[in-house]
Amino acid sequence: MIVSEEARAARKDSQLARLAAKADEEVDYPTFYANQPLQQAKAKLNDQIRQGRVLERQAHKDMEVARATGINIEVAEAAVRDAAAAIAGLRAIKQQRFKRGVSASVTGGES
Amino acid sequence: MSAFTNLAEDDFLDLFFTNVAFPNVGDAAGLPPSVGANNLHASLHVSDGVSDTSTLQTDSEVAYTGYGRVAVARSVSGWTVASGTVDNDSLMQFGEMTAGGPDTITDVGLGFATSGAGVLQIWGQVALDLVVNDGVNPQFAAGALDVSIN
Repeated sequence: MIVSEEARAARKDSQLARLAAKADEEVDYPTFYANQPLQQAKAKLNDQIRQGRVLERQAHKDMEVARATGINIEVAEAAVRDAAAAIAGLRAIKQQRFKRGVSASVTGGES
Repeated sequence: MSAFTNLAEDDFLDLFFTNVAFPNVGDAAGLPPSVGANNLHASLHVSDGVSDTSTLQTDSEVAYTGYGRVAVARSVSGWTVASGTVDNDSLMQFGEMTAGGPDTITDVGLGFATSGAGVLQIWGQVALDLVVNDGVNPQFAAGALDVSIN
């Protein structure tokens, strides 16, 4: 629900600027879009999630080695937990900031 | 999991809600706007009677005396598309219930028919069910109806 006047005005300004870029043949619209601050913020968050998954995969590999050798098993398990928690945190932020679906608040009014 | 990019989401919402071309689909010009932009018509539904399998806008639609679908221009003056979400620019107020209630509103729908079955294009549960009694006009405040692709 976007009811703040300021937030709505900012979104309308963003829409109009984007549509102007889309209509302007001199503007590379996809590049314009990618450079919007919110898109940059989303891209940064997605990069962090990707990096987190790389770390998580490595942590799982390390744990397999630890279990096979019997060395540093607890440390490896902790690393797996930490990596999973980090990704879960980032995904929660993503879900909170960039929600999806239909949101509708109906209220009772008077004529 | 894969999905439309943010760019494609906004471009689709532009076309659907504001009748602005969806560029770069097939060719640079892409999908053109409709010749007749028409209006989107919002409907209210009860009993959790609509879902993603629904096709008719009359499914579980309220029928109280005084009710009619609310038309919103399919244009930039009617809707704001930004960051993958579209929301209504102005108050959307339904007719006052004068008889036929009470009704408990559970869902909202969007289609292109002023009345009758038409085709239900979009649906969503309201955040909190609303019990409508005589003398009440259900309404969505400006910005209170948001739709995004998921």
